[in-house]
Amino acid sequence: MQTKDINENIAWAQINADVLRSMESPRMGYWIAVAACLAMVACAVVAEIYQYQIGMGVGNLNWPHMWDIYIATFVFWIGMSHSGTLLSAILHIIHADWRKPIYRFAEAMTTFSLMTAGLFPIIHLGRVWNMYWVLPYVSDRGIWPNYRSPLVWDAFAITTYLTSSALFLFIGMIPDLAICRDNARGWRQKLYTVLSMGWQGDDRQWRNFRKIYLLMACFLIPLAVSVHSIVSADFAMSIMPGWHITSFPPYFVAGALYSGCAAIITLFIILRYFFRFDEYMTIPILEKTCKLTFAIAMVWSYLTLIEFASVWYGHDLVAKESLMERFVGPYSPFFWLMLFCGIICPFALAIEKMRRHLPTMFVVSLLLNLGMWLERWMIVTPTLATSHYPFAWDVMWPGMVQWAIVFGSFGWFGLLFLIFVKVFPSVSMYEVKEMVFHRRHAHRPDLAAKFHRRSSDQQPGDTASGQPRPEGA
Amino acid sequence: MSLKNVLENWSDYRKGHEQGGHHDYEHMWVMAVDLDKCTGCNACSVACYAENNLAVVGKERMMKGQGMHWLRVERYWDEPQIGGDDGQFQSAGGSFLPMMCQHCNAATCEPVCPVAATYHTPDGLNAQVYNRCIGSRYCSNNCPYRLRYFNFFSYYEESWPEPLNQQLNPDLSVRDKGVMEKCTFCVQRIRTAKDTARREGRAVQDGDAVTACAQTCPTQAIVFGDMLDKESRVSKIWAKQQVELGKTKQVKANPELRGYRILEGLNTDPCIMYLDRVREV
Amino acid sequence: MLNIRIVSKLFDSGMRVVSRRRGLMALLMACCLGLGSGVAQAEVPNAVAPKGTHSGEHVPQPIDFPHDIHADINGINCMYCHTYARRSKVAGIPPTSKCMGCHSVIATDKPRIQQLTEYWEKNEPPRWKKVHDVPDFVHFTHEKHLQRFVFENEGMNVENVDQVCAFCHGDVKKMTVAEKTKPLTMGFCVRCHEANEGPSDCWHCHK
Repeated sequence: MQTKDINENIAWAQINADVLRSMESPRMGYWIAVAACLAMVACAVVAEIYQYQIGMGVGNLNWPHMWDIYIATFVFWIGMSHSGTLLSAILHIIHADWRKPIYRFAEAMTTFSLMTAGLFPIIHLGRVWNMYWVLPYVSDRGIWPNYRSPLVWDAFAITTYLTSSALFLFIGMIPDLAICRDNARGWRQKLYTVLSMGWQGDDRQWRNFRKIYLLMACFLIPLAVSVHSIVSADFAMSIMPGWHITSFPPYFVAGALYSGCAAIITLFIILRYFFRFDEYMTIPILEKTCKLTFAIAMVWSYLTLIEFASVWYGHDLVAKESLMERFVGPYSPFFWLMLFCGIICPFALAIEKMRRHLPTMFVVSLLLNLGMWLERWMIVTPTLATSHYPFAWDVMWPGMVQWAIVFGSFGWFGLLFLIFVKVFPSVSMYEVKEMVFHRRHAHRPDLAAKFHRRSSDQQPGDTASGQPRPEGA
Repeated sequence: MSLKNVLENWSDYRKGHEQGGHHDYEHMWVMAVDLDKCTGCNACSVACYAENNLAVVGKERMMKGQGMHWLRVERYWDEPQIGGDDGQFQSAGGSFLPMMCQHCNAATCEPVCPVAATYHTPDGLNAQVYNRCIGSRYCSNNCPYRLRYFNFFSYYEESWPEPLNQQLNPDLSVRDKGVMEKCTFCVQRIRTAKDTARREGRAVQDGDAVTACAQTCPTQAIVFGDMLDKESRVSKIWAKQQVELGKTKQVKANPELRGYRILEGLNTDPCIMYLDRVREV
Repeated sequence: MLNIRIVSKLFDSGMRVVSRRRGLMALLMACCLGLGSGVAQAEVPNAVAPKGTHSGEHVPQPIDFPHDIHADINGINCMYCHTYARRSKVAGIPPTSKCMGCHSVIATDKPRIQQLTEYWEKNEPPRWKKVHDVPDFVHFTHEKHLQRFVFENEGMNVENVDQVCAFCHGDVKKMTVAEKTKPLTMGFCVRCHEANEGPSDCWHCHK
């Protein structure tokens, strides 16, 4: 049974070769996946054009149900983006080095899921062509957005988070892009030359790189937490029963990390299988990710139950009614499915045998994400169905147009991710080398002591070209 | 609101943020609806359609909940013990509730609009500016009464085919798809009344401004007027019922008084008082 | 916003110089600012004229009505023909009968008048085209603006009403058919409302 996070004797040229191989000309399966994603996006585009031309009513939205799965999916994708930051920024700061082989694709996931999420508030607007009115630009008319509205905060939060996480992804990739540059030809070489920004791997560059990377990590952590808190404010700031809940910000952040970690497990397994990254995305790392996910799942479950309890023991009859309606009302099958996927399923992560079995983990991670999507839907819709005013109680099921756009968003995310894995290294080469180096010396306390002081601020022994230099042994 | 305006009047805006609404009202338009007089004839709703260029969406969309009746007459059956389930008594036991925008003084729809398309006027009205609205629909989600209606489709051609477009009221805009709309207390009539009064060099009197629904109601169940005018009919009715604005719970000397405001406990401070139906038990 | 206000302040002083001294310097300054028209207007008391220019497309009219002959050479008051301006939302286009009131005897030999007489005899109104059009969701009222700037404005002579009209319609006295020379955008309106302490409530104009 594999117990080590990574093979300590792996040659550095091997690391470069393995990662660069994953970026080589794609095979048939890749193109089929791209075609499938494009087809999904096409569905959404057709649906959106139709909705744009005819009006928002085509997706079955109606009078009490002004928001529906667009907003639920928006929250889902925003949530998805948080785990990338967890892996790349938070774990970076606490020196959990097992994150190194898997953080790159998680960070890419952050950026792409934000790019997907950002589309939904736009799609759901009744007058899309005026969407820029939520931004505070200096206009001839001298009018400004309403700064009290959580939707305006959303616009700020999402654009800031998207910019910063894209920058963070890019900055973290610079040394690897230099390796790619040195090994590429044709258009790729031109692209990497521009993107690697003249990286040579000298001391000064590494020192500046470390500083800016740490700075970005520190900047991103509060940002990530605040972004989902602000998204939760869309609901918590209203007076609707089931939305107006004090614990929503932490609840949303926990849910965000939860769905994101589940998505990381899914992508981990897919990448490991298709790119044969068995050496880097190892079972012990998966186990660690699973444990982390389990811990977050328990936090989330706790907050879910706390939410029920605080509503149940509160004096707000309407909120209680709304909660009961979730348990027994028309949406209850989905509510129970959500509770099953969100609270029961994660216990599979606690069992070592299941944790080490990839197909099981693949299914479980998908179930967890299904649960998290349902959670968002079960926040948005039942409240609108059963609110303060009984005359306006109504059950609505989303129409084909809404489903098509939600479906297409997965295609859009998939498409971006597929392009990413072929154009950029989805495993961080320089950090894997770092990790291998550290692990190797962990067994040699004398050497470890010697290098420990420098290890946090300097890349030991690597050059930009990724040529392995004999060291350590 | 220019930047200069914001900077110079910052303390006012800040106070407004804390307290909601205006503090130097010119008028405070309010309503009293006597449910005992309401026969559920829907004339008010029809008048509203005619006055305010409301689109007729058709039966199918109405059933789907995509209608836009600014004034809806809600029908309720009484509790079973007073004959609610018994068909014979239903005609006697049904009761009606005309619901239009409550023009809350602490309106929950106002702070959530991202582009400030809905705001409070110095007349005590909850305004909706159609041409500013981008259709985020948050206001409707945050309205506890669900009294805001969204243009899910473009109705201009279907609802007013030639020559019916000639019947449109020119004093207010025709809304297109993607815009939220709601009862305005017939602001165009209020505006006309104020202009007329100004032209004649006098103050606005009680009865100058009458909403279409109040004008049409055959039993005069709806009374509309200015609360700041202590002599107006409506403020006398409110005073008689011992219902006051700005409270979350009314303390009444006489519990027999029928006046109440809907969902008052949410502190939305609605401007419409209803008078409960007198029941024979 | 701030910039626009500073620029308009600059121009504000520039304009006064023009009207007093008509100096070359000030003319140059006005030209530099690209705000050439509207210069050399007599001032309306208690009012700040809105700033901004626009060059609208030429709108062909059924008859090339010469505003300059009527308003400038003959000095006819704007409200003589646009008679509803003082009492309603719209200023009104005069009915043909009003034109014929004079032109059944005046200048009957001119081709444009003969054109008009033809319409009159056919019992058909000339189809005048709208030049100053604002969107349907803007509810502009001529009446209130005339009240504020003319009838309730102390020191304002009703004979000079054309200067108030010029706020939004430009110097019609120099035109034949009306041209749109002011932007009539919301910014144009709002800045004037701020300068003259007009209402800032959205619902005054949009409902």
